[in-house]
Amino acid sequence: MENAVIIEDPPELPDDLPPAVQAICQTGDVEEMACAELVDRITDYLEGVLGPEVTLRLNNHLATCDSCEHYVAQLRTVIRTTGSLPSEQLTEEAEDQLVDIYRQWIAERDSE
Amino acid sequence: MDLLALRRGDETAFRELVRDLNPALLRLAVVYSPTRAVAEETVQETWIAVLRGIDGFEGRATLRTWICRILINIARRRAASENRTLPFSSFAADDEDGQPVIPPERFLQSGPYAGHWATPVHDWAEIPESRLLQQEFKGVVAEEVARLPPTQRIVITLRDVEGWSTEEVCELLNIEPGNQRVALHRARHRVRAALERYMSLKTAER
Ligand SMILES: [Zn+2]
Repeated sequence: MENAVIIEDPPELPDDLPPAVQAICQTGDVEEMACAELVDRITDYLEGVLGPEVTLRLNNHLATCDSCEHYVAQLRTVIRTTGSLPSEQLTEEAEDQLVDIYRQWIAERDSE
Repeated sequence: MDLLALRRGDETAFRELVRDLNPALLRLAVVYSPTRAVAEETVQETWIAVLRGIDGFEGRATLRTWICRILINIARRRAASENRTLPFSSFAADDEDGQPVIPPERFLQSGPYAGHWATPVHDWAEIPESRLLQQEFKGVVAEEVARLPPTQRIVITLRDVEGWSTEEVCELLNIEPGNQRVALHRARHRVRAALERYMSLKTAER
């Protein structure tokens, strides 16, 4: 049911490509998944809802692409930092005020 | 949460519930409210409504989903009575801003490596700790979350700040898991982009 994954040799880079570009893409799996597709699918990947075939393609890409690896690491940093934002607790006064409302509610209910 | 204790009049149980849920309620209320004061009033009104309704709570939803839904209803009613335009009436709409999460020019447009990064993505782990002020870093995240469109803001708040599950978020907002993921995807990417801008400023400082 699942197609075998064939990792082909990377296509030859044209000679006139600036060195910086050559340095970025050493993935060797352009047939398999482009970085842009990885970016599109990354939330589904992190949420664990990608099918096994796409997950495999994505993992293969990730294993060989430094930029995408950094990209995913950045997203994990985002998630971790968002999760560490301080939560705002009520002041003692405001909490007591709510407890008063609660007491009042209990008293009214019990007197009915 | 011990619902029976709450119904019985156990103040400790009530305090626990308030401490547990109030931060999330306030975060939600802020999205729907024009001012901080209105948000706080909405939260207090919510607690009153929760008490009035608690004997009828049947446990079909989780308690916190039920309470958050009460808050959203109150916030919407207030907005309508004050003739404020609601930030959104349906949850699908505001995420269709049509913008790609990454500007297309970040990827090569042609050649054998079309679709691959045109410029390398930086490894944030390589930036010396000393230049990264944790507080500043968190501040950038908090500010960007506050700037997000309402649906994205609520989804990232519930999922990543409060740690809710997909199922619970979908139940509260009455949206499909796929739509929830789209909102989360966009929200996380916008926060990432904000951090990237901050990081490039930091690295330029050397
Ligand atoms: Zn890549």
